[in-house]
Amino acid sequence: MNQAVIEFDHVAKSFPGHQAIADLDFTINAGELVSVVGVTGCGKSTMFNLTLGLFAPTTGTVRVQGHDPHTEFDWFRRRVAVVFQDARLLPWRTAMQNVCIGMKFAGIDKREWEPRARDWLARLGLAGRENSYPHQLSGGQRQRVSLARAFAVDPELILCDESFSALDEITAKNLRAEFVELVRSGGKSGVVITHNITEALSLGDRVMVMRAPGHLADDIRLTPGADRAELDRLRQRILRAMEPPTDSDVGQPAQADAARTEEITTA
Amino acid sequence: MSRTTKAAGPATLAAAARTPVWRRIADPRIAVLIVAFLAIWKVASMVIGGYNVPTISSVASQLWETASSTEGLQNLGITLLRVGIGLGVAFLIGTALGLFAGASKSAAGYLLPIVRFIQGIPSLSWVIIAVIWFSNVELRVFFVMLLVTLPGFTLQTYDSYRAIPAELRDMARSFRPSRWALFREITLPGVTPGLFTAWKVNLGLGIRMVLIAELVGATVGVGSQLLTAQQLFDMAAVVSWTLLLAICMLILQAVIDGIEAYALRYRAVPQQAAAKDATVSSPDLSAAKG
Repeated sequence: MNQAVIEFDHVAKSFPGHQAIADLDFTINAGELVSVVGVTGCGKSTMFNLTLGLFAPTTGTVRVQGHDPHTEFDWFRRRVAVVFQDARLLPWRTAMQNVCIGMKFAGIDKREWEPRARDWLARLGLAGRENSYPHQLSGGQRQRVSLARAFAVDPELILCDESFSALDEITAKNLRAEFVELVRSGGKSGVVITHNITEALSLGDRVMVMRAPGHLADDIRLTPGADRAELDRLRQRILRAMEPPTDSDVGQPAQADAARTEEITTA
Repeated sequence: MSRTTKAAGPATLAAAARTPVWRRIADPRIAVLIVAFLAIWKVASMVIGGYNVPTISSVASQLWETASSTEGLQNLGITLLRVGIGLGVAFLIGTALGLFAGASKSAAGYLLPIVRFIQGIPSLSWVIIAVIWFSNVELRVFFVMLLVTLPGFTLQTYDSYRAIPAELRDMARSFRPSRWALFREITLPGVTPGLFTAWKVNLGLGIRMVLIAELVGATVGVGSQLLTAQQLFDMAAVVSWTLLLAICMLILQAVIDGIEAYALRYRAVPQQAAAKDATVSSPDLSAAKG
């Protein structure tokens, strides 16, 4: 099934005095788990906000599940959920209530809130912590609650904005594995924005490399089974793609980078 | 796969939330302060004496008489009612204005200078303006109460609104909530701590202002009774009315503290440091399948 879930058609986005996205053109299909990497300021967050519909593109079109996320903002209720870099839990709500709040915002039947929240907290290892307030939880536990909040809505698309980057490596590794398992087992599509190449390689079916000002520098499709040497080669390739362009690259980023797309085998 | 978790039970949390008010009432230091105050008063009444410093017993007797008589309670009740109505209306209007200013930059641009200007006018000026403008005593008191306490509610609400982290709003918006849900779940809890602060500050201010307003033309209420006592050089009555009002204020403050402790119980002192991730083994993801 190759149904497009996110389509950027030659999208540009400018802010006063600053072009965040120059020419972004890609398609993510349903069921794909895609990592987006790039250095700070390359336009990852702008791409994220365009996907969420928080901004409208300056030129070009953005389609998520065939709809305009900006003008049809409410259509995406229950269809899209986000896990942010920090857990963004409401300090006045318990873990259970924080999970319920996503369902409340999404307009899910009230009778489903508690069983779903309890179930997702248990799945993410927080059984017994339902009544804890955020300040009583560790950073990893807070992020688990935010994952539970996103998954409890049962969205078709999950967006992660550097969701594991603020955690220690062991916690991040565990949560990444849990996240991948939950996305796969739920048949969902996922986009994970990260600046961590190892994370990008371990998460997805595909790694999109972005470079400033907001264009795709490389698009690598991954299939399981790579050895260490292959991963190192891939890491080097991503690093090269993330580097600023040379003078000869300027002016034709999309064309220059499109040719680099290829299928890569990974672990 | 089994896991180990450390749970902070709801009972522990509730206890933590209730403790401050209870402790404040039972605080032995308060008893020490009361005893010291009474001792100084006793000495002062013995040294100075006369009607300038009445004896403790005469004030206690007057206090009991006032608190046990219908007329006394009526006067006290009317004053407290005026405070309640004035503060209640100021709270509703002030909070609405603060939220409006917080939500709209252009509204804030017009509203806040006016509110700050009103706040800068001396309270006594409002009393004099009220006397000239209104012949009705209740209207005078209400007008003064409203104008003096409204800026506090507005500015505190506005500041609290602006202090709500943008990240929480973005998180909420990512779920596409209705405006009402966003207001109820993010805005209202976000400004609530500021509203309690405004209530506590304005309660004292309101009680002081209502007395001044009652001194001018009111025939019932603590202010008018104080004026009568002053005209009769009845210092015991002055002190007893003052004490009665101060006690009422302390009780009301304690009530607000209690409500605040309950409403903001999530701020309870953290329990033993939250369990580290290490204590929570990796979840059993087989349960998550399907």
